[in-house]
Amino acid sequence: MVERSFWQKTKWKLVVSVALSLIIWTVSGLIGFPRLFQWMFMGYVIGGLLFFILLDARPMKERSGGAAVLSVIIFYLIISFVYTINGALWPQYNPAEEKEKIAKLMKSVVSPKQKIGELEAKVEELSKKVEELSTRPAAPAPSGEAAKKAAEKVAGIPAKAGPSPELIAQGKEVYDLYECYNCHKIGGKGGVKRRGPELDHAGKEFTAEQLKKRIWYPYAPGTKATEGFEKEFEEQTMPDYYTEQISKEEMEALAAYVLSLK
Amino acid sequence: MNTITSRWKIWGPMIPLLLIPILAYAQMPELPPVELGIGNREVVWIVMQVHLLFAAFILGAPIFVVICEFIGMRTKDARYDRLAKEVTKVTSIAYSLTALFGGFAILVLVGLYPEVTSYMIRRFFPVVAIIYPLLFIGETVTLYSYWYTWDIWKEKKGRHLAVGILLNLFGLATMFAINAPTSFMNTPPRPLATATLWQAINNYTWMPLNLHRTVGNITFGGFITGLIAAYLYMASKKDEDKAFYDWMGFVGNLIGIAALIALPLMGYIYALEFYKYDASAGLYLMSDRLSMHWEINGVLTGATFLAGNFYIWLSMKRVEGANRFAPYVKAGFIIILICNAIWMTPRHFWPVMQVPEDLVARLELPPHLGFLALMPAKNTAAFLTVLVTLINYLLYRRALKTGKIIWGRIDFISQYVLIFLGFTSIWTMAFMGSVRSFARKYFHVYLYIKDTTPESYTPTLAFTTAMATLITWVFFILVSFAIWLALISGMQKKGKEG
Repeated sequence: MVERSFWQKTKWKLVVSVALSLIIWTVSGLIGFPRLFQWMFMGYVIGGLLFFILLDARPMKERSGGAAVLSVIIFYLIISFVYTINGALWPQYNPAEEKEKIAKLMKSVVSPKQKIGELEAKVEELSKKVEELSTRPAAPAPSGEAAKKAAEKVAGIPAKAGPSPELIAQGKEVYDLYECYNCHKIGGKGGVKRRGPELDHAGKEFTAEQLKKRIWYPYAPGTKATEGFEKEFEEQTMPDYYTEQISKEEMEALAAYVLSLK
Repeated sequence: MNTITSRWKIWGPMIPLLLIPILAYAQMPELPPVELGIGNREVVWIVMQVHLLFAAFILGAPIFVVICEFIGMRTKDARYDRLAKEVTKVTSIAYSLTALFGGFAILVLVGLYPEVTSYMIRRFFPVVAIIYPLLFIGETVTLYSYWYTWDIWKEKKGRHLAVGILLNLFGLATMFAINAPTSFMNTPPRPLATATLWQAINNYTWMPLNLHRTVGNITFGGFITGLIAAYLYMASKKDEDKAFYDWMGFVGNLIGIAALIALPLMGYIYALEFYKYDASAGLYLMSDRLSMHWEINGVLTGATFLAGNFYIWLSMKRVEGANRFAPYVKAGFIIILICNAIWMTPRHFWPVMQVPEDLVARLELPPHLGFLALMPAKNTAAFLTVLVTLINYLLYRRALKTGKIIWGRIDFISQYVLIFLGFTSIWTMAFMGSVRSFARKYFHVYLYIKDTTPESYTPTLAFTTAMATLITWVFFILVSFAIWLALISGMQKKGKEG
C-alpha cells in the first residue's frame, strides 16, 4: 500500500474537522449549550486538528550548538507567551469590588490577642448564663388557652416591631458580604449544588431568635436538620464560625432581611 | 570534583542557620513592616515559589534516583546507574539553591510580614526551630554522603542504596514538617485558641497536602530529568551519548507520567478536604473567584497528558512494526481530547459565584447540562484520560516485544516535547501553588488572622499567569545554571581522564 503524503493526510483531517465542527455546533445548539460554550467546543476541534497534524508531521531536522540554544529560547518564549496570554483571555473579575468588600469586612478587625480575649470573655458570659439557667426553677409549661395566647404573643412580635426597609436592605448586603448565596437559594439564585435550604419562605418558618441561633450556633444541642438536608446537617456543611465573623448589628440586619422573605 | 561546585554545595545549605539573629529581630513589635514599594506580596510570592520549586525538585529527584539505582542494581544495566548519578549531581547543586532561597524567604517574610511570621514561628516553634532544622541537617548529611560515596561504594550497592533510602526518608519528613504550617494557614483547627500543637499540625489538609506534594514532586522530578536529558541530548556529539540521553529522556517521561496518573486523585482528595473543612472555602476555590483558574489548570493538565502521550507515540514510531498500533493510539488521543473538553467545561464563564441576571443565558450552563460541571463528570474524564495513558504505554511495551528500538534515533521534536513537559510542570506548580494560597481569601490564617495589608484581595487570573511565567523563568535560569555546572564539572573530569 502506498503511504499517503503529509499534505494528503492533512487535507483529509481538514475535511473531517469541518464536518465534525458542523455536527458539534448543531447538536450542542439543539441540546441547549449557550453560544459561548459552542465556541469553546469549536476551539477544541481546532486544537485537536492541530494536534493530529503534528502527529503525522515529518521528522524534525536535528539542531546543535548555537542553533539548538536559540531554538530552545524561542520555544520558551512561545510557551511563556501562550500561557500568559491564556490567563488574560478568560473572564476576569474586578479586584476593586473585592477591595471594597474587604474594607467592609475589615471594619471589625482585631489582633489575634484581642480576638482570643474577646472569645474568652464571651465563653465566660455564656457559661454564667448556662449556670444561671440551670439553677433557676423551671416555669410550668403553658397549656390550653394560655399556650395559645403565648404563641399569639410570640407570633405577633415581628409584626409589632417591623424592620425598616433600610435595615432589610442592609441585611441583603450582609447576606452578599458573607456569601450566603454560596449554599442557599433565594428566588432560584445561588447555590450551584444543593447544600443548604432555600430561603424563599424563611420568614414564615422562623422567628428572629430562632434564625439568629441557627446562624450563630447551627449545631447547638436540640437543633434539628431542615427536612431534606439531614446529610448536610450531619456533615456540618453550614459553617459554625459566624459567632466570630458576624457582629450583632450585622446579624440584626441579616435576620431582618431573611425574615422579610415570605 | 570542581572546587567551586564543592564549596557551593557545602556552604550553601548553612545559609538558613545564619538567619537566626534575624528571627530575634522579628520579635521587636515596635518596628513597622518594611514597605518595598513594588508590592510586598509579589516579592514574597516570587521568593517562596522559587524556593518551593527547588524544594520540589530536590525532594522528587532522590525518589526517582533511588528507584533508578535499584533497577540498575537488579538488572545490571549500567545506564540506570549513570542516569541516577547525573541527576544526583544536578540535585546536589540545586540543594544549595533551595537552602539559599529558603533563607531568603525567611528574610523577606520577617521584614515584610513580621507579625504573622512571628505568630507562625511561635505557634510551630518545636516544628520550625527543632524538628525542621534537625531533619534538614539529616537530609544534608545523607545527600552529600550519598553523592560522595557513589564511586567509593561502587561494589557495595546495597549500602549505597540504604543511604539513598535514608535520604528520601529525611526528605519526606522535612516536607511533612514544613507542610504543617503551610496547611495550617489554609485550614487551622477550630477552636484555634484551645488547639494543641499536634492538632495544629494534623489539620484538615495536612495529610492531603503531604500526599499531593509527594506525588507531585515525583512527577516534577521525572519531567525535570526529561528536561535535563533533552538539554544533554542536544549538546551531545557522540552517538553513544545521544543514545544514553534519549533513553534517559524516555525514563524521565515514563516516571513523570506514571506519577502524574495518580495526581488527579490526590488533587481531588485535597480539594475534598477543603470542602469538608469549610464548604465556603471549597466553593471559593472551585466556583467563585478562583473558578477560572481551574480552566487554566484544565489546559495545563490536558497539555501535559497530551504531550506525555505524544512522546510515547514518538518513541513508538521508531520501533519496527509498531505502525500497526497507530490507529489505537490515535483513537486514544481523541478520547483524551474529549475528556479534556469535559474537564474544562465550567458551570459558568464568570469569575464570581453569581452571574448577573442578564448574562445567565449567555454564560451559564442550563440546569439540565449542569451535571457536566460537577465532580462525577470531571472524575470520569480524569479516569478515562489516565486509562488511555496506561493503554498507550502497554501498547508501546507490546511493540517492543516484536520490534527493535534504536536509542538515539528519535524524531528531534521529542526533545522539545520533553522541554515542554518540564516547563509546563514548573509553570503548573508555580500557578497552582498560588491558587492554594489564594484559597485563604483575605486571611493569613483562614478565619483567624486577617490580612490587613492593601494586597489582601485575590489577584486577577491575568496577573497570576504573568507571575507564574516570571517565576518559571527565574527557576529555569537557575536550573539551567545548575545543569551547566554539572555539565562542565563532568567535562573537566572526562578531559582529565582522557
